[in-house]
Amino acid sequence: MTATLVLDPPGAGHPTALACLDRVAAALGTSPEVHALHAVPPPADPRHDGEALLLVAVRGDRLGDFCSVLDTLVQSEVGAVLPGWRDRSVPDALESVHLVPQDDHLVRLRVRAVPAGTPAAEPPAGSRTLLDRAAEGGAPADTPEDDLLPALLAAEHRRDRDPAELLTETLVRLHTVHADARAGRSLEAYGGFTLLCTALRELLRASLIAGAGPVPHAEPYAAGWAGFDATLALTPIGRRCRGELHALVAAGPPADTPALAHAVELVLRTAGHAAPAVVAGLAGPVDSYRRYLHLD
Amino acid sequence: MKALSVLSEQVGRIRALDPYTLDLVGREALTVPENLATEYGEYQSGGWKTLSLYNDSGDPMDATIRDCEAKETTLLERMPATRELLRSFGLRYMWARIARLQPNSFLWEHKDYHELTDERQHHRLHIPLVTNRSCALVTGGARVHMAHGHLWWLMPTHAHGACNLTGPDRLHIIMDCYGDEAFEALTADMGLDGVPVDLLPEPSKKELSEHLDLAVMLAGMGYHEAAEHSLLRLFYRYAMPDGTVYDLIVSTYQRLGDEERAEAWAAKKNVMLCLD
Repeated sequence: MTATLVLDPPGAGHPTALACLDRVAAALGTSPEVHALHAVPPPADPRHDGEALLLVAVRGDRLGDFCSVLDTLVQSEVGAVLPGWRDRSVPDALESVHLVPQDDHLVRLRVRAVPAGTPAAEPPAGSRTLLDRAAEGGAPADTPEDDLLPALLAAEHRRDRDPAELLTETLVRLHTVHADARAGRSLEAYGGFTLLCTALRELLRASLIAGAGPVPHAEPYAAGWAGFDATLALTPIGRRCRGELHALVAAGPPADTPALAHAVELVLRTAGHAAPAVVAGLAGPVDSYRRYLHLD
Repeated sequence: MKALSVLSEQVGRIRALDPYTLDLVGREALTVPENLATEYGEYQSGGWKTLSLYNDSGDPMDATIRDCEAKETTLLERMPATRELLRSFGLRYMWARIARLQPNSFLWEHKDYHELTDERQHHRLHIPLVTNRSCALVTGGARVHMAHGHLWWLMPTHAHGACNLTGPDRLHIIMDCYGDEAFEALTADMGLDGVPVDLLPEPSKKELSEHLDLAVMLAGMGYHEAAEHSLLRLFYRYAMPDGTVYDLIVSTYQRLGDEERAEAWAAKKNVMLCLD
C-alpha cells in the first residue's frame, strides 16, 4: 500500500496511537475494495490518549463483506487483545472497537466503515489521509446505486449480542473510564462508567434471564435498571452478581491502578458468576489485558 | 484419560526451579540485545527471534540448529546465572537458545528434528522466563500453557505449534539435548499431574465450512495473508488430523481458482510436516 499524506497527523503528541493507526492502515489497505483510509482526530480534545479512530471507505457493494471480515482481520493481522465489539451508542455508523497493543500500551482502536462515494466517506476536518486510491491515480469511487449502510445498521441493531461481546465491551469501557478518571475528567469518566455498568447489566440479562431477548439499544433513561435488583435477587447466582455489581457501582470510576485492579476483579467476578464459560474462554486475553495495564 | 496418556508422550512438566535463580536468569535474559536473530521464517508468522547460548560455533547469532557437540557462546559467557543453571542440569547439549515470541506471533503447525542425522535421542526442554496465559503449546490435540517456575519437556517430532496470542512478549530458554543418563535422571519424575491441559474440541463440518467461507471472503477481497493466518490459527483452537489447516488453505485457493497458490501451500504442508 502506498500511503498518501495529505495533512499533518492529528494528535502528533500521541505517537503510540499514530503508530498503531499506521499498522492498522497497512493491514486494512491491502484490499483493493478499500478506497480510502482517514485517521480522524479525537472529537473533544487531544487528551484522549490511547484512542484512535480510523474512517474506512469501502466499495459500496462490499461494505457488508468488509464488516464480516473486519474482526478476524484486526485480530489476525494487527493482534487485538480482545475480540472487537460494535459500539451501538454511535449513531448512523458501523463503528467497532478493538483493543490493540502498541509498544507495551493498549490503544482503543475505533474503525468506522462507510460506503465509498457517499457523504459519510468525506474525511472530517483535521483528518489525516492514510490511503486515497483516487489521489494515487485510481478511479474515484462510484456512488453506490444502493446505500447498504441503513440496512446493515438495522441488522446490527436487531442482532443479539452474546455475553462474550458484552464482557469485552465492559473491559474496554473500563480502560476508557480509567484514562478519564486518572486525567481528572471526572464527568466524562462518570458517563463512561454508566455505559460500562450498562454493558455488564446486559451481560447478566443475556446470561441469567430466560427469554431476555435482544438487548434494547435505545431505552428510555434508567429503564433497563428498573426492577433489576429484585430480578437478580430471585436466585443465588443472581444475588452473588448483585453483590459484586453493587460493589462496582459503589466504588465508582477507578482513578488509580489499585482501584482499576479492584474494578477489573469485580467485573470478572460478576461475569464469572453469570457466564463462567465465557470468562474461562477469555482467560488468555484477559491475562494479557491485565499485564498491559500492569495489574499483575 | 487416553488422550492424556498419549499427550504425556509429547509434553511434560519436569520439576520446579528455584525462584531466586529463575529471577536472576530472567533479568539476564531481559537485558540481552534487542537484535535477536530471525530464523525459520517459513515456520512462523513473524515475531519469533532467538539468540544462541550453546552451539558449535560459539556465535550467538548462529541460530539454525543442527547436530553438534555444543559449547557455550560468547553471549552465555556474559550471563553467569544462566550459565550456572544450564551447567547444573549436567546435560549434553546440542543447542540452547533464548527465544522471544512477540504478541500475535505463531510458530505454525510443524514437526522438528527430522533433518537431524545423529542416531542419539533428541529432546527439547523449555524454561519459561516471561509468559502470559495466552501463550500456549499445542500438541496431540491439546493446548498446554508452559507456566513460569518450572522446567518443561517437549518431543517436537510430533506435529506441534506455539503461540503468543495476545502478549506481552514471551521469553523462554529452549534447550535441545541428547538423551543420556543425566537426562533420564533429570526427567525421572516428569508428568502432567496438576498441569492444566485444555483438550481441544474437534470441529464440526459446519464450523470448518464457516471458517473456510470466511477465508475465501478474506482472500477474495485481497486479504490473502489474513485468510491464510485465519486458517493456520485454527490449529490452536481445534483438535484435527495433522495438516488439516494446510488442506483448508489449499481448498480456499482452489475455490478461488488460484491454482498457483494452492500448489504452493500443498508443497508447504510437505515441508512443515516432513512429508517428503
